[in-house]
Amino acid sequence: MKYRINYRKVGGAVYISHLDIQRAFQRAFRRAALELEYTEGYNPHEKLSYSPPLPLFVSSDDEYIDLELSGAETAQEVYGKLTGQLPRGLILNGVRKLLITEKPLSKTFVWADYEITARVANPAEAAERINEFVLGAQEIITTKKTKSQKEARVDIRPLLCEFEAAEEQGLLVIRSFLSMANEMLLNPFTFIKAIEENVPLEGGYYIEKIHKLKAYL
Amino acid sequence: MGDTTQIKKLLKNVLKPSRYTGGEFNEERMKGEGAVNYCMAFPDTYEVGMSHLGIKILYHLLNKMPNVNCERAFAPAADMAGQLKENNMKLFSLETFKPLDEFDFVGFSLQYEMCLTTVLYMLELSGIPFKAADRGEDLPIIMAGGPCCVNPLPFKDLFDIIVIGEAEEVLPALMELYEKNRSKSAFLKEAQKLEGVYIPLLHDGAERIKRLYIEDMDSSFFPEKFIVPFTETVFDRAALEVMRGCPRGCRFCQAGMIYRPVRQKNVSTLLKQADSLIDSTGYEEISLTSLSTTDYMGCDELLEKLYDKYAQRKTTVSLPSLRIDSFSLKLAKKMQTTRTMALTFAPEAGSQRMRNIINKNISEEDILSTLQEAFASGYNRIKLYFMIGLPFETEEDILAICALLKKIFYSYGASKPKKSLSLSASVACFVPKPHTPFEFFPQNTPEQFAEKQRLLVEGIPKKIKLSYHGADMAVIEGDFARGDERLGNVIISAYKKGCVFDSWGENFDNAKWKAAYEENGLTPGQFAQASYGYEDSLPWDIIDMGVTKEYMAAEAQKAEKEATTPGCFDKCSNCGIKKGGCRFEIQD
Repeated sequence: MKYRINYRKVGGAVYISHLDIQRAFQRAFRRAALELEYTEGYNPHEKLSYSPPLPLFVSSDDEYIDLELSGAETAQEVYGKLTGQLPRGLILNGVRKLLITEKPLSKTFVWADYEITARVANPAEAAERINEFVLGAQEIITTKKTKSQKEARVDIRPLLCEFEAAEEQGLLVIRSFLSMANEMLLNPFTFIKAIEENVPLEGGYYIEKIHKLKAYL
Repeated sequence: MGDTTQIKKLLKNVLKPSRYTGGEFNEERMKGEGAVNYCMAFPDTYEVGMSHLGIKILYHLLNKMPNVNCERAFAPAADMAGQLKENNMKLFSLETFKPLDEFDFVGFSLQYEMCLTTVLYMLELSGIPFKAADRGEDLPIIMAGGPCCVNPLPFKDLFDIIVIGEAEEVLPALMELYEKNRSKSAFLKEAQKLEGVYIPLLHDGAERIKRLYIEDMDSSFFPEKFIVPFTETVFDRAALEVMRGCPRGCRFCQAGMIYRPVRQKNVSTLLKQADSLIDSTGYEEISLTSLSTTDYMGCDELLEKLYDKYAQRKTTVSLPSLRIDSFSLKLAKKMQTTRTMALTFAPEAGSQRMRNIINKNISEEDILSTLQEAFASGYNRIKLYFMIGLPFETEEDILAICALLKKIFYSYGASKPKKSLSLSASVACFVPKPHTPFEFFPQNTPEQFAEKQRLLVEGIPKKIKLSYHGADMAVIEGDFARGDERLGNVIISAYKKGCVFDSWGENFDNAKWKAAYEENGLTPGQFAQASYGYEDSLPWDIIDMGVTKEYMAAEAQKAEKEATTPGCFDKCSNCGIKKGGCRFEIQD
């Protein structure tokens, strides 16, 4: 039976890398005595898949893991066993059974709704300039490291939508949907770098918080 | 509680920040105001420190006390140390981000000699003066424990308290004493009366400090849960200690002497402890640890029962080291942990004469027949450990290592295997350690080591992988193992010249160490190369390890005659460990 687990990654958990999160969940499943299905072959491993990696220092309210159990527990039972076995900062939102017709996690999501909070010298003016730039831009060019560690030029304009910058309680708050589509994932740090390059501010940006509110189909 | 907004800023600029933030599963919750605050400090990185079973046991033991908080701190990597300095911040604990200088106690675990500069690194990052005499009433009490403390003289000036032996036996008493008496000076005076506690500033230099040890491992404290690190540690599995001590009596081996008597746990105790380890951590592998696990009397039964229990849960059981005999090989095959088909053995010496001198009771026949059996079972990767620079060693003994390796290598083809053999030999420079039969003998000089290494390189065919290290670090290790209080300032000079994390080979800088010795009028090797008569007084005589010096001398003399001594399980050799502590003592 397949299940989809939805969890939050908050607080101290933002310092845990994606690889370490995977290990933490695997061990939590074992502590919870959930019997996972294993792959066949010479080096069998648990049948688990994760939503696209969240960068270090980024918190999220909407992360996912798919797993396959050998038994047929109800989603409620899985939730009950797992809750209490997770380390600080990893919090279960819910568990549901997965239909065989559903797409795998890597192909499920298209957009992620991000909120980025930054400390800047003059947030109201900065917000206005950033809005003007992003909404007026045909393309937003920045560089990012490719897998082979080379610098590549990318246009991130098509990879974002629902953009808005505003001043809130003396801070600059940027809300935007960033692409989560397969092969077109926009890392929030790449996004912020592009904003910093195109709208330079006196005194620079100090990023307080990057938070993912929701992943959209 | 430290300044968390500041700390959050630092964490963004360092690699693997989760090493500094705690919050792992099973981390202990801290009690409020009024508790005694102890910081368990490990002078190496998080990955190394969290691999160590001893500090995990002590951590949970102290936190179980109603009025004690025990937090953890590890040596930060260079990037984090730089960030701390740049931002004028002090090294902080993982649990509450409290700066180390605000604790009542900071206790260092000294597992190897080369960690001492890293102790200074952590003290400096905490704004704590290096020497006990320079620290006032309001600074923490700095403690040390661990196997290095069997000769505490080289670093005695750094610490207020040095615990000799197994700290489980005295740490709770020390905490209770401090709870009642929170003035540092008054506390130290009282603490001095406890067994196993060495307080260098108050010690008269003569009275012998008795080593502490747990008599009954079955009833001793064992945590019900263990912290599960997020980041991968060096030893990233559950460790189940099946016994303490080793019955073998190899004469070069310090652990074999300083952890006497052999104390085995019952199989039923171990099964219970295995459960709490696996249930509380979710580890996928449990390793049966001890100095010589295949000597554990319940080994077969325990393995059998662990399989029955864990096969279903896909938890594997492993043994960290094997002896060269067919029993061990049988176990290895059974465990199938050797998916890579690699086996590791330690003959330690090449010639029979030399193996008799070190009391490694295996014959060449044993080695060859066990390996034949291994080859026949399909093992094709073999790693062998040897030592050079052993007492009474001659050129022939070195050449015998080459001969043995060749014999093994050419015996492989006999059964016409499909895969080729990968044979590697790792050759270490021997350090004569205190409280061993070889404590009287000088270490080889770097020139002697180099000559012996040259013989090996020339004598071993290229098809056999040979690995060895320069002798320089072994010499410094030898000095700190066998030296005295004159070395205290050398540690400080070396640290000031930039020596830190010396135990990681690539960081060791011999030129800096040499300069540090010279600055203090000393020469590297002068302690390591000292030779003592059996009646001479030794720097480490102030420590009473339980095994007597007479026994050490008798064993050394037997070594000279190439005579062997049976292991504890075969026949008691009356090493001096008190009755009641040992199940195998002489009965009159």
